[in-house]
Parts: sequence; C-alpha cells; structure tokens
Amino acid sequence: MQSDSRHGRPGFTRLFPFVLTAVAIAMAAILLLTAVAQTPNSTPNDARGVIRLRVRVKTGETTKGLSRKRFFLIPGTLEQNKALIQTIEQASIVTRDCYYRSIGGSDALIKWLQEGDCESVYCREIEPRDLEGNTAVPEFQRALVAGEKELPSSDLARKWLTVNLPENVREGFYKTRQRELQRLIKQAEDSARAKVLSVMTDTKGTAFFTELPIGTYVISNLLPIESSNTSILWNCEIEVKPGDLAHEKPFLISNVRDRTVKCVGKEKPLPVCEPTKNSGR
Amino acid sequence: MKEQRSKSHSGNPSSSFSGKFPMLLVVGAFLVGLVLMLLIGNLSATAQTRKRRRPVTPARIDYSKFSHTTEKHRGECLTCHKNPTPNWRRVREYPDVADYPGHAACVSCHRQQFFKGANPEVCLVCHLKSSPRDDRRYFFRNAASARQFSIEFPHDKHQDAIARWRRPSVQTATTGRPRFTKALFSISSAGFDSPGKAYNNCTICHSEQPTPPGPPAGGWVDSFSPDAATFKSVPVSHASCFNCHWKSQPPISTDCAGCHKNATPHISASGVQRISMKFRHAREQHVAECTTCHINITKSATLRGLKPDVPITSCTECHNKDGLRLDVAKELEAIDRNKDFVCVYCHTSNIGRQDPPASHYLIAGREALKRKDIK
Repeated sequence: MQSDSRHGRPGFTRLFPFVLTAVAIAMAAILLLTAVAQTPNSTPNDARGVIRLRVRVKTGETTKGLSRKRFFLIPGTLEQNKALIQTIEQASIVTRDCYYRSIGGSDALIKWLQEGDCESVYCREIEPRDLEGNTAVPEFQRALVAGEKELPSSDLARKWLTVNLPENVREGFYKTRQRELQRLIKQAEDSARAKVLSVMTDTKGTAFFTELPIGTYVISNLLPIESSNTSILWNCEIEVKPGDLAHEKPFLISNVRDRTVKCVGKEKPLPVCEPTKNSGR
Repeated sequence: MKEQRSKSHSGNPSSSFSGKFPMLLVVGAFLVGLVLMLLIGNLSATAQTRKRRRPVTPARIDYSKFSHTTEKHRGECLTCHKNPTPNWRRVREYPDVADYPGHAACVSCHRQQFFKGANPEVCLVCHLKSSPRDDRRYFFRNAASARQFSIEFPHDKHQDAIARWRRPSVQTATTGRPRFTKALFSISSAGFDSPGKAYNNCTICHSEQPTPPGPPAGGWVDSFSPDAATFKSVPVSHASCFNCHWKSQPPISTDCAGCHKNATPHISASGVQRISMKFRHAREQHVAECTTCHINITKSATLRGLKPDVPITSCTECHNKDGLRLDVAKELEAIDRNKDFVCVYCHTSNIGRQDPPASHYLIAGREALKRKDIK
C-alpha cells in the first residue's frame, strides 16, 4: 500500500494486467484442451484386419472341413492367457452321449441324435418314421400324444413336437455347454479386459473374424469338439496385421500336423459314459 | 537495482499501459463477452421459467390413434390381448394372436370416449368405420399402421441351437468313394450328406420368395426390376417362432415382450434395399450355405444394426480372379479412363456412380481413389 501510494497508483490497477493475463492463459488452455479432445483420433489404432479361419479335421482316412462349430478370439498372447488356457485344458467334458444317458434318454433318442450328428432335438425335423415302428423314439411319441390334445392336427403336433418335450431333453445339453462356455468367456474377458469375439464355421469349415484391431490373439474353441472317439481342443496364437484381408491365405487349423497347418489341436479320447438306471427306456 | 525494478514496474505508467493495451483490449473483450453470455443464458432461463408458469391448455387427444407407449397402455400385454384369440381356428392353422383385443380392453378405461356421440373416434383404432351398423375391423395387424415394436431375434443363439455335432463322413457306406454333393438353402436332404433327413437351417425362416418384390416408392432405379429369385423371404408371422416357442421354450408365446420391444413408431420400408441389387440368390453359381457369404450372421446377437454383412471377398472369390473373371478390376479401370463411369455389373446407378469403397480397390491390389482426383 505504501509503495502504491508512493507511485500514485492504487494496488488494484497495478495488479489488473497480471490478473487478466492469468485469466487469458487459463481460458486459452481450456480452449486448447477442448479442441484437442474433440479432434478425431486418426492414429494407426484405427487400422483393422481380418482372419479367415479354415478348420479341417481328419477322422480315419477322411479329412474334411469342420462345419457349424463356434471359435473364439481372445485378445492377448498365449502367455498372457496362460491361466485361462490351463482352465480350458483341465475342464471336464460332458459329451453329448453322456449327457443324454445321464438324463435317462432312451437308446432310440441317442441313436436319433447320432444318426443326424445332432447336438439337440432342434437339429432336424422330426419325421413320421421317428414316431412309429422299430425306430420310434419314446420321448417323441409322448410329446406327440400331448400335442395332439391341444393342437388342431396330428401333423402340426408333429411339427411342433419339441414344445411338449421335457426341458432336459429339449435344451439341457445346450444349457450345460453354455454355462461352461459363459464361465470361460467371462474369465477370458476379465483377463483380457476386452470382448471375446466368436464366429461359427460354415459347411466347408471356413469362418471369418472381421474388423479386428491390430494385435495378437488366441484362437480357441474353448470347449473341445467331439470327433469320432476323440475330443479336440485348439488354443493357438495369431497376429493380425494392418490391412490383412486374409482372403488368399486362410489360417488353417487341424488335428493333424501338416506344412500348411498353422495350429494343431490337442486330441484326447472321449470319456466313457456311466450308464444310468433309467437309460435304455 | 531496487530503483530500476521499481521504475520498470511503475516509473512510466502511461508507456507501460499503452504497451499492454492491445492485450488488455482482447482480454477485456473476452471477459465482456463472457459476462454477456452468462447474462443472456440467465435471461433465457428466466424466460423459460416464466413460460413454464403460464397456464397450459391441454392438447386435444386424438383417441382414434392408439399408442403402446402411453403410460397406461404399458401394462402386461395379456391385460388386453388374448393368446390365442378366439378366432384363430378360422384364420390360422395354428394357435395365434389373430385379432384385436375385445371391447372390454378399451371400455375399462375409456368409457367416456366409448359412449361419446353417435360416432366415437376411439372405435377407429380397430374399426374401419365408427358406426354401430358397421363392425368391420382392419385386418390384424393393419399393415398400413405404423409399427410400434421392433423384433428381437438373436441369430447367434439360433445358429447354436440348430448346430450339428459334426458332419457325417463324405464316403458312402456302399462304395467307399467320395460323393459329390451340392449345398442348398432348402430344408431338404440335399442340404447335407445324409439322405432323407430334413436338417433345420436358415431356410426355416428365409426361403424362396414366391413372387417378385414390389417396387419401392418412386419406382425401381434404372427400371431394373429384380425377380423373385433375387431375394430370400423373411418371417412375417408367428408361424416361424411358435413351432419351438409356443410354450415351454422361452420366450414363450404369452411372453410378448420376449421378442417385441417398444420402438419409435415406424412404417416398414416399402420395397427392398440392397447395395448390390443385381445379385440373385437363386442363381446356380450362387447357391451355397448362407454363412459362406453372410459371414457375420453367426455372431449377431440382435437385429438392431444388422446390415448386409457380405464382404466384397465373398464376391471376388469368383468375380475377381485371374483366369476366371475380373469384374471388379475391369470396372475400376473403366473409372480410371472416365471418372463418370457408372458401375453396373452388380449395382444400379444410384450406387454405381458413387466412389468405389477402399475394399474394392484393395481387392484389386490398388490404392484407393476418389473420382474427383481422377484427371
């Protein structure tokens, strides 16, 4: 105050330019930060790649594409997903035949599923021959009788037959597998802190993962597939590079080693089913 | 030093002030602007408050229009709808919701509107005319009315549910020689290798179109009218769902919200929309398993955002292969020669005159170009 009065200027006037400068700098900084935050991210992180997966399985003398099987893409390397892979490899498998035996499924039902290589009753149409004669499936026959009581025709009761099947026959196997699958997916996503993608192979055993961020992934089927008398589990590392269309060179995976095969699955004999007291009805 | 410092600070106040004047002017203007903005914002908020306080005349309600989003209409679906409706045997081959709710559903709340005058407008929700002498109703559901729900359908779950364990051997039991088969969309034994077995696949819902699609509003682009073989059908009734979901298997037929989700009212797009209008599903060379080209469908958990998911690589396996055909590369070269060239092999001109996407250039092994950059 003393000096102010000595120079003939009040304190506020002397400090005013500095206050204004400070405010202006602060405002400029805010504007700059806002502008930076709104600038679209055009870093190379935007680059995307594609994996063309081709799965071939050798059973006996025959090698063929593995159709309609789901494969998963887990972000990270094999090393980074070590704990998950150990869990996958140590998980006990409930095979299709063992599941249906465990719920007391009839021999005819198991044969019907085996004949069509089906996982569930939704796999193919239930036909008149599945309802009468030596090949009749008792579970289907009971469902038909129930359906005929509430639906206008026997034909509709057959076509809508699954609506009268018990839950464990209808979707028990699917749900059992889904529970295990969801547990593994959750573990994978928690570990990778990213979403696990999945695709299903077509009849030729081909599937595409598209729009993939560049990086390293593990391709896995998480739950082993059943092939003849063995189960096969794949856990392989793959690198996705920028602009990788992969349309010419598929990532070939198989259960047998070959120079073109990039990933060989681990094969194990299927577990033997424990017969249940109700089986064979 | 002390004196010097003191001078530099305030020895010549007028010259120091004039030196900083432009900066002070800018900063001052900024601050004045800021104060003005705050004042205007405050004034506008006050005006809005005043506006809110003004007595509001209630808008006239149009009772001839029914909305499922009205608060009191958002109860359980079966409060009003019956499943199946009493008329289902006359109009359907299966138990279905085949009619509007009965009068009781409306009268329970709208007694006043229901008995208002000789021609109550509330009747027009379901009836063609508001008259006690004419009880005709719209077809259920009225295709002309806006849809108030979207459908939730997880393709991925359904793909899993119909999945087969593994394919049978391609060797025949009798000869032991490989058998050549052709995969089809149809639900028939020909679809897979096992004779006489009808496997469930995409055809359950997407079959051959019996008739050509109708033209869109404004007609077909380039007068190109696609035939029935161009597209596959989509489900239009509960028949495709109730065969599995009628009861037991959730979401069951009485759980309407299991599949129908409230949506902004919308009229279904008339006609078909497709980028490659000239692709025909039923062409012999195009007959394959759906997921061979629709590569993303098996991971689609919802219909929302579902768009054509066929990448160019599905086409160029045949249409851009050396020694076979070079349809993509040839049209890109045609654009090099004439930037106004319209790609017509797959597209109609509304698409064909646009810049080819980078994926097309990539597949032809070239750098992507924009038409405007071509000399």
